[in-house]
Amino acid sequence: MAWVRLSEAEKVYIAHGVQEDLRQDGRSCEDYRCIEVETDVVSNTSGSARVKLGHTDILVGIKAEMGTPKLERPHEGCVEFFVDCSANAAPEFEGRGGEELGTEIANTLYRMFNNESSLDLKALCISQAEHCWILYVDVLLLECGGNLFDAISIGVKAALFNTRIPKVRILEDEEGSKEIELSDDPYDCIRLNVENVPCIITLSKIGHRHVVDATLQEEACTLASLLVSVTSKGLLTGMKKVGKGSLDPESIFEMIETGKRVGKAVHVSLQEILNKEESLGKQRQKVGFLG
Amino acid sequence: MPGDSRRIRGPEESRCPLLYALPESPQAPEQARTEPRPLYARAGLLSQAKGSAYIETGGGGGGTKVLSGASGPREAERRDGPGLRGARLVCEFRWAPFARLGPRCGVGTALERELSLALQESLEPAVRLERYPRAQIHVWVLVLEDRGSAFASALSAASLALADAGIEMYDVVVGCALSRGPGGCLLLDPSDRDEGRPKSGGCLTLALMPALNQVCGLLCNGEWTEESLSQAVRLCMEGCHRLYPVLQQCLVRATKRKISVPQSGPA
Amino acid sequence: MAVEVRLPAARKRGSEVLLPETNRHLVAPGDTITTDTGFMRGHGTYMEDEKLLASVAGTVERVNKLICVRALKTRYNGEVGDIVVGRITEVQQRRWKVETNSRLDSVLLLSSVNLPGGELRRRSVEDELAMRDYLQEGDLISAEVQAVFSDGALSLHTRSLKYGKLGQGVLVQVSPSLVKRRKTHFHNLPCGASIILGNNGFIWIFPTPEQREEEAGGFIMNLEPVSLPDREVISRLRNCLLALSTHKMMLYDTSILYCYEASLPHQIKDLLKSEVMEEIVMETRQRLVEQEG
Repeated sequence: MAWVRLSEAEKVYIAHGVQEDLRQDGRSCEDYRCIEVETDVVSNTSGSARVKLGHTDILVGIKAEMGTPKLERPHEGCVEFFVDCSANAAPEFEGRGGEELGTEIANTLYRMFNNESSLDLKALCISQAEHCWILYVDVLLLECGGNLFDAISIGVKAALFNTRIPKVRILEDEEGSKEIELSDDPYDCIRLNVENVPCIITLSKIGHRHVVDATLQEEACTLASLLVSVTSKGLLTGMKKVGKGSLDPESIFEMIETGKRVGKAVHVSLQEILNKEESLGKQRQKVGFLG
Repeated sequence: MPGDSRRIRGPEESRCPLLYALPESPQAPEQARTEPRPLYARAGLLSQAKGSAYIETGGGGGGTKVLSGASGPREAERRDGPGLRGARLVCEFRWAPFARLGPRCGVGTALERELSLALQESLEPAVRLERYPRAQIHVWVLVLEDRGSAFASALSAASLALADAGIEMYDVVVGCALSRGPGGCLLLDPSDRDEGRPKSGGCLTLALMPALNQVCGLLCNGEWTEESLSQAVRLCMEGCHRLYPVLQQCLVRATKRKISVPQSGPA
Repeated sequence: MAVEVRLPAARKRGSEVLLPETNRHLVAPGDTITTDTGFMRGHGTYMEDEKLLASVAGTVERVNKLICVRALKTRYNGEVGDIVVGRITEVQQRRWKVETNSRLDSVLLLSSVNLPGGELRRRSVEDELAMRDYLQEGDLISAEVQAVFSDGALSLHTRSLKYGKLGQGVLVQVSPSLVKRRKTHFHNLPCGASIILGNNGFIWIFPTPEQREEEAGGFIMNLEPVSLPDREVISRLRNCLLALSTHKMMLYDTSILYCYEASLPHQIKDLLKSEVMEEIVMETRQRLVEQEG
């Protein structure tokens, strides 16, 4: 992760601040920075989203392609994640430096989505054991300002909400050869149900308390963090401990409870904004990258 | 004998026959298991590695067999970032290609890389890295046979290997796994049939330092509610506490073997 | 607990209505400044074909016969006598390397610091070995520029009791061109915190120390927890500074104070929102114009 160096006195100041529930920028321990979400920024994709969380900038693009389903799951489609940490995000990502971080984030996304209810993969099946939709979710890190996992998961959810997969029919000939027909109407498409798509909440332990949405300076003071993946209904789909320190069992239980609470709030706000954006429809002024 | 270029190699694409097997008849309803399976551990068996350990769990009908080795501390090749204080711990986690039930798994897959990173993050809190500045410690784990909770056994084996290599640690790390059946009951130390059950609620692996009661690693997936997850974490911790004496005794025995037996001189 | 998600709003062009329109000559690299050969060439220009061309993007400044182009967004170019706040990156033999947001890392020689105890003595071999006890990698210091080397690196010194290692506080990084050169850069603001405006764009906000005891050259640090009201003042100041720097306002004690007073009706964490930032910057601008006019 992009890191900043802090002096011992600065770390002590941040730790004491967290103890008193007043962080460096005035937020309390459970406050998020302002999140800006915009969908449909890239027109060549099936769905895309851009998320800005403080200084962290993420672009997610989804392309839906047809392929053969996996051997052990013939009646389901699949989702492939790829995370690219470009050198724009931080100087240490130059060359192959960002690859490790990218693989770590991609593996975490796989783990969080590796259950039945997150994404309805059966809806992605076209014909059993022969054709299915494969969703390639590509995440691009434009700028790194702390708290990458949260921003990426919000971006993935927004992009999945925005994804439109064209409807496809398989026509069978008399000889038995199959033909694939794509519907002509550009608006005739499948939308994905993102109700149960999880969002990752990172809880960083500083001193004796934990904070949500740590900035780069706070991450430099963190010994250990817990990544909790929460759905809008409050189900936990995955949990992972990262960092060099160890955690007290009591703090783990507290963090799980905080993560669930904050996660539900994030889902509520995010869904509200996505619905509002959708309702604006054509009149929506696209801000894109120049705003 | 030099390779025969005219030999016809096997087909490029091959499938495991189990894919075509009939779905299993409904299993007997699983009972919650709150005790880990019997564990056999031995340290100090490899001559080439500085420290090594072998763990076998399960027993009857084949169990999980894990081999681990540790080497170092040695001088690190390059120092970058805030690496001045403390050693670098490099971990590698691999399955043997024939270890798992089902199709032959390739080497270097994403899951292996993820678990290698998880292994590193679980062992770092336990090793006294600041005692070895600018050094590098290597740990590798090889799963010879996977019949459930391989990663948990790997955690225990890796920490035994580190202790066997004489590297300073705060405590021995004990790993324990748990899986949740579809009925919601919690199975400690699941076998691979329990883990691979399609409708299972999820799996959880926990790494604990029992003497300090600190959790140093946690990995979970599946669907959990808050209460079931808290209960699962507590059960795993209890399982770790149960396994701890076994690992300690294994280290004591290994140390005894290393102490040279005083030779009785010529009479 | 607050989670706010919102749609992005296009950034409005900063209104230039309030600013008196001075005749600013803005140039880009390659633009002709003048064809008159009577001028002396300063920084940021080069001569070609009897024409004076700009080599950076910025404003043209003319002092009698000297023309130079000052870039608006640039690394810090140090001058003798500037106050800087820097972070130690490396500990070398008899010197420390300090990062000051300039082209090259600045240098702090062992002979340029005050030893603990305030003694004036020759630096010995033990001092060299104990350098890390005084200043480590990651520590923050406030110093003054003593000299500029030929390659542009700065040589710093902390030979005064007001400079030295910095204790608890918050560091804010802004563009160096926003910090006005003034008589003093150390301010004890009436709102309850102190501030050091480094010319290199590093601004240090810290709680006002109560007594000024005779410290040993500023190497002993106070690690006691800072009280909550002081923390609030510091966080508010930090957010105000970020607001001012986002809107490209010059930073000096008056503007910071006005901004702080304009921000009092809002909650500290609301100051991070763009519309609140705009509001308080507008108010600050107005008050500054009134004060000058």
